Amino acid sequence: MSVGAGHFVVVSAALFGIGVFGLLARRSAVGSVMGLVLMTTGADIALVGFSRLGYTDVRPLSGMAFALLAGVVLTAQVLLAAGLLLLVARRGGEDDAPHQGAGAGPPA
Amino acid sequence: MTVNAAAFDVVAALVLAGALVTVAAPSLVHGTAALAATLLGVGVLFVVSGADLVGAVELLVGAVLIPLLLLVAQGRAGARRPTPLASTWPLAALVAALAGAGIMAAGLASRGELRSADWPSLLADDGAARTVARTLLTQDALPLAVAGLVVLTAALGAVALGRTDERELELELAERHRREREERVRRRREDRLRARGRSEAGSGEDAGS
Repeated sequence: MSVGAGHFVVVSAALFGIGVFGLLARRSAVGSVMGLVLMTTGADIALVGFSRLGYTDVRPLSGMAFALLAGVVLTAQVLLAAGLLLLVARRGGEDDAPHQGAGAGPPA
Repeated sequence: MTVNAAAFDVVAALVLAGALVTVAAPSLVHGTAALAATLLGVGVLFVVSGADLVGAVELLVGAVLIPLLLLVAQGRAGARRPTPLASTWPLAALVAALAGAGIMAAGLASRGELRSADWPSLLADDGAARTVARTLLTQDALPLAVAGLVVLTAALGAVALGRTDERELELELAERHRREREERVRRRREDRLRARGRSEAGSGEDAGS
């Protein structure tokens, strides 16, 4: 028995759904980014599967090429998310500083 | 060329299990490890499906680079504490189930338009990797260049966002000095109050005797 389009569709839709759940249900930003990664990967599986089964002679495997480009965009997305997380963490540290010092009383 | 259904099913089941662990694990570190395993499985799935080049890229980028970036971000952001799911997770599960079911239904409804035949002679001769590379470098050269530009811009932006500049370091140093000075003043005041309390207690005893 060979793999048909249904296999790819089921796996990619399930992965996309799990990613949506992660994006909406996780409290932390890193968890949401992980959900986004799963969603994009689900779309990649669909691209590869449909390209594998629905190729054309004119543009063979352009779906796989598109999946590669989607992977590049996913990398860019995670890079920016990591940079933003670092920035937010640093700003949060600065904001906390006055509150930590507030209990010490006014300087003499 | 046909895809081995048994191998596909086993790897797909592992991928979905890994994805579930990724979104449900309370610890983000464990979630990231599960994400790496999931993307590794997706890479294997691509290789099993005959997409060698995409599989290799998925293994390198998905299973190594992305989890590494997320781990670095977690470590610097101090996000190593367990984070439970939000209280609205049943609603999120409902939305996710609806989205997944909708995509599944649309995909299954349109799968009849796909033709399943032998690979064209071009693919049989050159293999998928060479064909995809040729497609990227000829017909899709512009999108490839734009994607390269996008990832370069993102890398530069991430570096610009993540770096600490001189002024920020000076501010942090000044803040640390201010806190140390406040701490010294607080201790000196406590010492003075303690000494005053002792002297008052001593004079009270003298008066009593």
